[in-house]
Amino acid sequence: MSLSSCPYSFLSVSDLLLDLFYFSEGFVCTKRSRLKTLDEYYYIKGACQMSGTGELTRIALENRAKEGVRREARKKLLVLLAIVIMEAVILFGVLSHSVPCENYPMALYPLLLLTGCQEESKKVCVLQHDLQFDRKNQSLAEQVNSLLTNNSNTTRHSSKTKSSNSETTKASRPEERRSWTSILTDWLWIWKPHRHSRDDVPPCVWGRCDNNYLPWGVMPRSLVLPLSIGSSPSDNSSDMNEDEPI
Amino acid sequence: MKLQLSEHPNPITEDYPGRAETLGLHTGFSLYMTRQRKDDSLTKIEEIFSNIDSIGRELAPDGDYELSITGHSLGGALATILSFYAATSNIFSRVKAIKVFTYAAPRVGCQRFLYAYQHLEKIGKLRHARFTNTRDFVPLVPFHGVTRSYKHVGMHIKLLGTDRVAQYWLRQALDVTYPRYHDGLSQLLRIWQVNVIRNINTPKGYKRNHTLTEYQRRIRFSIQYRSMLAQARKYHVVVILSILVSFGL
Repeated sequence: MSLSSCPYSFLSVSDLLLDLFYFSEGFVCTKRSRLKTLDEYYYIKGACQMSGTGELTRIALENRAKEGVRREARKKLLVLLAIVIMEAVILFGVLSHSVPCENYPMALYPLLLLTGCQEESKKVCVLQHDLQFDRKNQSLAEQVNSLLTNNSNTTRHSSKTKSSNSETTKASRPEERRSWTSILTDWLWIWKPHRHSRDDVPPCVWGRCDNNYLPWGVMPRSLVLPLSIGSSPSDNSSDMNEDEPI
Repeated sequence: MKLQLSEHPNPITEDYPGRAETLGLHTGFSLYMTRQRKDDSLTKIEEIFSNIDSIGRELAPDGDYELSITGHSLGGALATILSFYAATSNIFSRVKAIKVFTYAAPRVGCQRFLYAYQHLEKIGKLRHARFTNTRDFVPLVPFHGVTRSYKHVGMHIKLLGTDRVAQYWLRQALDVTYPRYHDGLSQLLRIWQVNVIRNINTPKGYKRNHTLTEYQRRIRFSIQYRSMLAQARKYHVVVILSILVSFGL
């Protein structure tokens, strides 16, 4: 930045003051803030082959330098953004495919619906409550399947392709039904009421069915419940310890 | 389909980077300008050129008159096409540089058209100032893409408005950009700059921002604000000087 091009270079009574005022935000050379013509803009942006004055050349060079710095910064930012997106995708993929629900990280519980967790453990945990319902469904399905097989045996066509198709559909029906229930339970397991009977399977809390750990690292066994009035500590301990045989 | 790009022969004979034999232009706009009339088999461009030249020769018999083309919205698109063909025409060979001022002009051509247009700008045959208001819908269409799509041409002057935010940016500089780089990153950034999400508005707002009155108001404000800014800085320096003198420095 040359100071000679500035019309107020006569300010240089002291180099220190000049520097102070020239490079401060409040003082900008008026030539820079004047309106430029279209030709001047073309020259500054490097869009034409023409010769410009020293002032225009300086502005053009400054602009190009600034533009280069901005381009580099944008490139770095975009690369970082791409890395972040890629990592998020990988994380979601890993969470949904290889992390069982019991070992789901606590910090990522808000993302559970988005990411999901391993199917098997959750299915086992959640479907335990609907076991009777599933059994009924299974018996019904078996009846329907037997009827279908009887029908297919009686009305079997001559072509082999159709019979193979019917076999495949028969084979895929239970899977479809299972997947449908799993899909339902995926979305409804949060709102399902739990049975609080002692004999029943302990309820699953956010995918944790072993009853040893609650969310946020709370262990039910380590919970100290308030003592009931008039009862001895020994009775309380025997009441609280559920796992011990009575 | 009127939204498709139709191929037109490239009128520029000399070589330049990215040259192609044909140029893709918006079918609707280009058909209007290049379709031949049934009675005299003249295109709209030829008609306009003959009229301009006859008027220009009255003013300057040698043909070295100045030519400026302007248009708003659809007129801006037609002005862009007309100026491109005028810059390549032999009729205006004595004209120094054709100046084009478009307001709220939509995109008219593809990347090959942009290369050809920029070549004419580089050799000094064309000077195009393309004014657009922020949150105006028309300059955003037809939509921009990365590979084969419509591109804006000319020097883009974005008019921000008259509010506090606009004043802050105007204090720094006028928002003037030129599509000099054509790599993937630059294309992406341009897409981000001119996409619909960034310029979202109500239908009423789009209508208001598209009017020529709004363009005129913003241009006037920008000119006055920048001029006043320069004046204020001048007075600022005078005040500093007087303070220095009063302290005996």
